[in-house]
Amino acid sequence: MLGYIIRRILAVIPVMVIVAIFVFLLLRLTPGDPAAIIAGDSATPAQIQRIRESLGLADPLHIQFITWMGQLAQGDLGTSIISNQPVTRLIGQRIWPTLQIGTLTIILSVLIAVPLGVLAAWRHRTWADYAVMTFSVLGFSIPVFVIGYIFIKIFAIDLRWLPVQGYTPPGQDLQAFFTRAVLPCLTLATIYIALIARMTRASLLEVLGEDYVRTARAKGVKEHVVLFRHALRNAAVPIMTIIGTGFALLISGVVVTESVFNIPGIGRLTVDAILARDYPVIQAMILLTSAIYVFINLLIDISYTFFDPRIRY
Amino acid sequence: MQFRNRPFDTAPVALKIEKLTVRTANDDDAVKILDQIDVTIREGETVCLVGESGSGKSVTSLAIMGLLPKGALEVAGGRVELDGMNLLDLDASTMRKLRASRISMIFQEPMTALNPVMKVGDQIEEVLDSHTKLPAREKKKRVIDIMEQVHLPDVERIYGSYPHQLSGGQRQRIMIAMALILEPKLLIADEPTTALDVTTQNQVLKLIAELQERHGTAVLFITHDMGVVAEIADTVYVMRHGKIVESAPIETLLRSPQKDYTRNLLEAVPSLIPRDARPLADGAPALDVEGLTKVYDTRSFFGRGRETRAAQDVRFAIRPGRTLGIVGESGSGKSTVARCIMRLIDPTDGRITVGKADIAKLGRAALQPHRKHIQIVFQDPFRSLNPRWKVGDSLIEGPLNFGQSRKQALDHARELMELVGLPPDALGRYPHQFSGGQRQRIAIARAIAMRPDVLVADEAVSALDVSVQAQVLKLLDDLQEKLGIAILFITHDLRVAAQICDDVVVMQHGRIVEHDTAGNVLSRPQHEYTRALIDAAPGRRWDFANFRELATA
Amino acid sequence: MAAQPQPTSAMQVVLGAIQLPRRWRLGFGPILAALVLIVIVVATASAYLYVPHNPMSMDALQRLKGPSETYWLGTDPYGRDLFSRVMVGGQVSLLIGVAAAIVSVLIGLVIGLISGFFRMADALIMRVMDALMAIPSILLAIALVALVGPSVGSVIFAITIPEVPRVVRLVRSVVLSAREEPYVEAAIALGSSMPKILWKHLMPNTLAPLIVQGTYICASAILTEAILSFLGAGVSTEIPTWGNIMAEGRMFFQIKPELIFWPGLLLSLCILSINLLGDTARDLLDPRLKKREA
Repeated sequence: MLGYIIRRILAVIPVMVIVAIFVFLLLRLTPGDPAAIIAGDSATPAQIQRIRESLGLADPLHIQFITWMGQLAQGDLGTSIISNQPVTRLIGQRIWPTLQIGTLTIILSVLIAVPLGVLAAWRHRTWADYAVMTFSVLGFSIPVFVIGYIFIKIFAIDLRWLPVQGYTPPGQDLQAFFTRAVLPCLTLATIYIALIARMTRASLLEVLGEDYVRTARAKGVKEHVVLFRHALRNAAVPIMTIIGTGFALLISGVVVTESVFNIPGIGRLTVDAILARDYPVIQAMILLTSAIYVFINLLIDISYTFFDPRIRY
Repeated sequence: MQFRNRPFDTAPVALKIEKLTVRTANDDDAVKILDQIDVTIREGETVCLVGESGSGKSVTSLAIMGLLPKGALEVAGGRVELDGMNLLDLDASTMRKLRASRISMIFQEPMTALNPVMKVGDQIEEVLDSHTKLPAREKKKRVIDIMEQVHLPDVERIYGSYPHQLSGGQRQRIMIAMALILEPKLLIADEPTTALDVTTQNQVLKLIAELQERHGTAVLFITHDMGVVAEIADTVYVMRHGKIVESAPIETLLRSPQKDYTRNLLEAVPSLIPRDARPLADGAPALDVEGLTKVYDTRSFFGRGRETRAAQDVRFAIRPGRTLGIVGESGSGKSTVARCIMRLIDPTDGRITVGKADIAKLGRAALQPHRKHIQIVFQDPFRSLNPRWKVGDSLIEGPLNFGQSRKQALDHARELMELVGLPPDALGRYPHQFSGGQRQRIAIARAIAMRPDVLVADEAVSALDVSVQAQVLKLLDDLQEKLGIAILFITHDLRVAAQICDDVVVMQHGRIVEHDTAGNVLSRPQHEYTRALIDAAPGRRWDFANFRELATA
Repeated sequence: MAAQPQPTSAMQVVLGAIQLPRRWRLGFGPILAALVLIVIVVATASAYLYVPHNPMSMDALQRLKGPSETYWLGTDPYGRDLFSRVMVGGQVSLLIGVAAAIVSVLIGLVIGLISGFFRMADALIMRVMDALMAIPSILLAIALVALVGPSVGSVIFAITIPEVPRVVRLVRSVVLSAREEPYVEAAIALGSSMPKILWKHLMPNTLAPLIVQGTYICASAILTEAILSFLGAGVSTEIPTWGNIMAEGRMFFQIKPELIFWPGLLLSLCILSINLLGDTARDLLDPRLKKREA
């Protein structure tokens, strides 16, 4: 098992290196002068020159790469073109709201989605199943921001139950934090719940057709024990996998949701960077979110050993 | 042959099935899967339900257990009586309480029938959890006790093991322990030894008989294997198309079957007496294998390389017009040898001479011209033809690769269809329109279309029902006589080997342990392992086709 | 190595026989979905034939008007007719969806076939695909659009690239399992060349899953276009798309939510129909796909 874990950890390295190379090349291989593209149409030659220097675009490609990787290794993600601040500092200032909302969303989603999926599989081809599946397809089909605005319209504008938007740090006022976090979390959770519930249902249905489930029934085991002890544990690996890969959706959702609800997190930072063409920030965000994604999926890979004793190689 | 021949007329009835009818749950055009079945099982009796695929024998067992797949099959009438109750009338919770305590069941595939993520001890204990309220220590004691009764070694260790850490035979013992821990009145065994090797099968059959004796359990044993039936049955029910064709005490049935279907079924069982060897032609061997070795490296992460020798120093030769069989149990390396010879995998060492050329080390391009001399027929007729291709296209695939025109190849294909006993219009149809036996004929025709010198048949009749098996073996025999091909026949079944092989190679753990004429290997085995294999063959003292004991030479 | 007989049980034969007709029986949902989709596609494609106003012409006097006889759904912050804009906007959104689906499926098919059949290439290709999948697709698309420019073509390109790895993985997994099939081994024994086996035996296995995957990509591409526009990284704002119309409505959401809801409704209906049809296609073409793609 230790061998498996070490191998999983080592497998992360090439992926992150390729991500880094990819991000590096993205800017450099773009047709035309990247500095001019970043500076925008109305830029003066002096501005373009300044950008070219600050990104080190004048050097030969391999020198640029070595310098860039060297900086990365020291934790230097570059400097914002707009605010002239180190990107790491900008991210440090903005990351907490995102982490709080994100964590709440994941917990909320898993707590809602897995029981929904189990219900749908258990009551296969009944109204409960159809209801869950309908919700799930709807969740995939409506853009995140439209969901957000629908929630705002219903719960904040019409019913006046919750504030429209904004963010309060939990350390400052816990209740205010939660009332303002409810809608963004629900918005963000919709697609994630849809995804996880769908996968839970599908893999549970598959497992319920397995021979060992028939054996359990032939032993006279009670139906709820069959469902939870035998079926759900065997379905856990694909469910965990989808929680991991679905994390990418969550990251995209964060960017959108934070601007709908005006939350000063790294999602907003990204949107502001897009509008201002602040390329170093965009680049750093890609690296950071990829690293988080890879790390989460590494944890999930390792968690397989807990669910399935056969993974020991 | 010693039959069980025990009288049961006076024993109390354990389970009585009357006019049981099961049909598809599809309301518009329901098909009857079981049609008015009557079966009576008495205490301590072993009833064998025997039939070919599609006869409805497994459905019978699931109907008794109340485990018919919901929405697909449903009971349409009849009674299943146990302890004076009609099981078909019971509600779900009462039925659940009867399972494992009054009737229990074991299945064909012990790997998939056990939950892969639960320790096997816990899986046995779960039966007690579901039906009793024993203290934890008592439960563990009972589990250990039943595990000892099924003769599992090192019980404490196996108690804490997961299914994938056990062998096939051990897994089936766990299943049996699970089924018998509450001493049920009836044990239903659905092909419980079909997935096991013959020596393991023998042990499991003995174990079931032993426990049955000890606990007085009635056993309903479902199988397609007449040899197994002869070994264990008190009473036999022959099923076909959802109906009982005939039922009788075992010896009566084997000596004087009343119905034609039963007679045909028995006559199709291949005999263990080796056939007469085909004439030995002069000249060079069509296939000559020397020192063939295949080593798999399973490298662990920390660099401790572990080698698995799947085949080691295998040597044999086959002359034109002769058949050499490789027999052995699973893991013996017989299929590895076949795949190496076909160059579907690369041998680690050795020479494979086909005609005059050694093909063991040739690269992909250099190998291509030699491919036409050696062809293969696989085990599974449902997967060996591309389902998207018309039969004709499959048949001419090879000839087109070797420069024949489409028309030439199709003309030849038409002749081949006749040769393998299929109508010429079969060429225009798709594989799913044919039965398993017909598909295997097509696969043989496809191989023959290349006019090969050597044909490798890798378990080519193992997936077929016994009557179809006999026809396909006959076809191979005829083709060989007409075309003078050398055949390498891989099989786990000694009966099949006896019927088709001139020479036999016995393999164990990747090595050849015995190599002689079929007559010598089967009648005067030299190696201990060969003897064990032959001893384990079920029903080996009975001559099924002639309805009498085997005349011992 | 399992060379033991495994007779097909009566059960499998029966289940196979009765499920076939049932599987082909379409429910009410898929038919409705197909109708909705056809109506939306025809209505947007022919929009210029019937829309009452030029979707681009601004009128400062008619800003943010409510629904009326002249302006059926009212007007936007620049006084443009919302109905005309929504109907015309669908053209570009749908075009992006279909184009992204086709291009990513084609690229993914080629790379996936190579990866599934040539072990040498496989390790490298799959590492690159892993890396591409690690980058959140929206951010990757944003970066690509930011660099290549806000044209329709570059948005299609930006949406396509993140979808490719998923197609590659799908094709590769189908090829890897199909190449173990005895009929493929028989083809090797019959002397068929590798390209022939790849194209004639293996590739057809990928078609059904690719059609299903293609519909999902189409739906997700339409969604991604909307999100990109919403974030200001989409098609140039001069071209009306569902995403652009909603993005312009953001500022005025509290005054006039219709600016987001009408295009949002049409877009969601469209994606919903495509997703439902995708699910139906999946169930019809191969029930076993359910697990592979969720």
